[in-house]
Amino acid sequence: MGMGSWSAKRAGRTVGFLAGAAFCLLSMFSVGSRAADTPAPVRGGTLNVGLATDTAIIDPSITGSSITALIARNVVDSLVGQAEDNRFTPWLAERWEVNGDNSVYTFHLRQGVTFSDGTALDAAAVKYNFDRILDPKTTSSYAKSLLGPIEAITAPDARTLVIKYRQPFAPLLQGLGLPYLGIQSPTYLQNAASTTNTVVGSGPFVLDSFTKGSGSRLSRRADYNWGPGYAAHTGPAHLDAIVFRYLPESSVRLGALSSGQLQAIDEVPPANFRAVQANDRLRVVTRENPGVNRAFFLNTTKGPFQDVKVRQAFQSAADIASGVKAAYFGSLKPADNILGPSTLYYDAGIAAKWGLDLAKANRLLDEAGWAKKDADGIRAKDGQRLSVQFVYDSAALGGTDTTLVQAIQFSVRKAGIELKLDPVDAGGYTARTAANDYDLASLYYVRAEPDILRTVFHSAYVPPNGANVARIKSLDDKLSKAIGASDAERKRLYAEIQTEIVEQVYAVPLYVAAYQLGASKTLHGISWATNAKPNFYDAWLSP
Amino acid sequence: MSGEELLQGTAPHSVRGGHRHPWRAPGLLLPLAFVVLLGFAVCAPHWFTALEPDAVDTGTILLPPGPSHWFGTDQLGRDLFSRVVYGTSQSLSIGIGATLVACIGGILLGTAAALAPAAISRPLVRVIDILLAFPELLLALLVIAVLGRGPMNTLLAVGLSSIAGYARLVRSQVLQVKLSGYVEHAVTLGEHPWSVITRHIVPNTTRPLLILATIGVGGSVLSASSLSFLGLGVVPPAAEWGALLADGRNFLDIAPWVSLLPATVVAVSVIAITLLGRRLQTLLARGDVP
Repeated sequence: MGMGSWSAKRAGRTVGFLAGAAFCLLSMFSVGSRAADTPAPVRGGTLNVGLATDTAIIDPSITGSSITALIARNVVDSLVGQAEDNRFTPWLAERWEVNGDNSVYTFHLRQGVTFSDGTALDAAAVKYNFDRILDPKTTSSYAKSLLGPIEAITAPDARTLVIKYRQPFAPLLQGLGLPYLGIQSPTYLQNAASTTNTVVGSGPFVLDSFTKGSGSRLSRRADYNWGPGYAAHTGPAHLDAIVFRYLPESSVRLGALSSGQLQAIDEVPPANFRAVQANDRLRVVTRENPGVNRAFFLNTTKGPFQDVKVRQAFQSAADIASGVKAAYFGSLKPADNILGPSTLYYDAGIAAKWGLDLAKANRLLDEAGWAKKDADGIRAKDGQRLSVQFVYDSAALGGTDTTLVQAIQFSVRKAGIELKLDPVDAGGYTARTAANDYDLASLYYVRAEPDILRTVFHSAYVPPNGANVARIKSLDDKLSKAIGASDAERKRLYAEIQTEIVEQVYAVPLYVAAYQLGASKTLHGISWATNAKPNFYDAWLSP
Repeated sequence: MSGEELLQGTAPHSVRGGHRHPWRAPGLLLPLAFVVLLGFAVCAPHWFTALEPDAVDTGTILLPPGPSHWFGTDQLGRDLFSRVVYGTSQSLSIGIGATLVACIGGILLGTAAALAPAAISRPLVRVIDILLAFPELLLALLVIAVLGRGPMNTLLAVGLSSIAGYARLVRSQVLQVKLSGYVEHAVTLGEHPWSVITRHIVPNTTRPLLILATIGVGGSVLSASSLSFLGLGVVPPAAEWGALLADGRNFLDIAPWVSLLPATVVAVSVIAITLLGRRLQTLLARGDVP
């Protein structure tokens, strides 16, 4: 309150200067446009956020959870920052050098940074963090994959960190910018029996409490003065505290937002999207996910989908555009490629290579020998029905996605393909994919770096070892080569990979998933991380 | 209300001429008519609607009820009335099948608990007591967790979870019948124990069981719908009533009919079946007295 009235009194005098400053910042860093309308950030207040999904682990280095990333982003700082336009900015590292073939990275750290427990953040602390992630005993999976094939990490002096690779590795900077590789206090890490429920970093907020199934409470760190280069301000955060609450039922979340109990929610229900937009006290900010779009992945090693013609027929028969429009009430875009448009090296030319074409689907299936149709209109060959099983975890795939799948089920049926839904629980899904007992599965991955394709299409990650549910091996060479190649070469390789995925139909892209933040209009200064998550460092609440 | 109803309410042991009246009471005829209607919906759903229940039309999503779509359309433009009609067979066959499973299980368990030697019957009675202590839906969830989902498993889950109630009823009936004169006679005449059980005891315990079962069908329909509502029953796009309700729940504030109309049908059906069961119970009990 005190801070609020201070601002109100000063606002008149400082508005001109701040508007000018905001304009400069805007042109320099292209931060969120909200800063321009309301140029005087108010200090203080508690931001209450309702989350649709829970997380089991709050330590970002041992989980791939996006909710953990969202919460921990406020608690841990990264070596480098990545702005909304994918540009890298200084953060804990003031500057860095990369050698010619992307195999040696040298970081020069900022001075005077401390963790919230008082420990100094120096090169040894960073080295301790990364060594811990690489240690198999830590059981880090996603953070470890972001670090890549490291040969050695050295700290020649307190302010210099050198990371040396066994083979060229280009995606490091992008990975370092994510909270999964955020730096935690080594003192805390050495003494903590378990890091499941706690995290201590050098960030603008301190984690006061985290309770699985309930939420987290964060409070501001008053002496914070080392924000990322992309931020709109320097110094401590504007908000006094952030409270994240786990509210899985969408109507409850929406109700709490409309009544003012919350100032922000994620996963605005598609059916209420327009209503929230029309509400003059609320708004919806949508941020498209970079990375692998929500897609059907076709099991290329079993059943009818072994034949590329059947896969192409499925791709041509699926009416994805109208399904997505109906299921998501026009709030999400149908995908035109395996990668989302905001991903690095996304190839816009792929869209022209595929689309709805029922005649083509019928012709391909006739050619493939599935010419006869039975009484239900389903095609058959050698006494076998053209029936495919879509195995999914019914708790993870939401009602809206199930609606979308039913729309596609109906459209491919017109071509004589029977798409069967096969809902199982999480354990059942893992078991079925590991046992190669499915024809289709569905997933998406959020990351701005196209190396995410390696996670989804490299043969090293065929289930049970990972997410290559299409079970293909033919992209291994290109995916491995693209990790360390030069920019031009990477662009060429990733274009070829995207083309092959769509032409050979390893996957049928469905829609570009997006982070939909429903927010009160009193919440300002939200900026976005490259993993399409809101940043709260610059955020503030108007009274 | 007519004098007939009044007569039936106040003077149940009426004279010979009034004997037909209770059978024509609207309290019996209306639910009976509705149940017959449900029967037709199960056997010949195409008599009620020409529209396919699974026909998606993304151009007509969430239309309000009107002349071309009596119940409106759902989130994929499917005709909701067709889905409710075609869903009847799913819901009712699960309801009836589950009740059959429960009855048969109840007869076996209840008879054994009443007639077996104490070493066996005592633990059986305790097992029945323990099962009764659990909410039926919790047991059904347990069965689903073990068997997986699907219409057949939903049927088994609902059936198995309600065995205990039937078993207790059968046990108390068998204990009564066991002491009756004709059973004593049969035993004295040296009939084989199995023959005594199958020819005398079980048939004479079934009447109250039948009544309980009729009422039970309503309950089973409700349990099966609850499971589907929780996403554990039938597999999409099957138009089971509970699944329809669950589907519509996200659109309550923009298209309330998508869940309210199927909910009404579930409520009216369960009430009709239960009323029918209660009426039959009263009538049969009266027939017993003479």
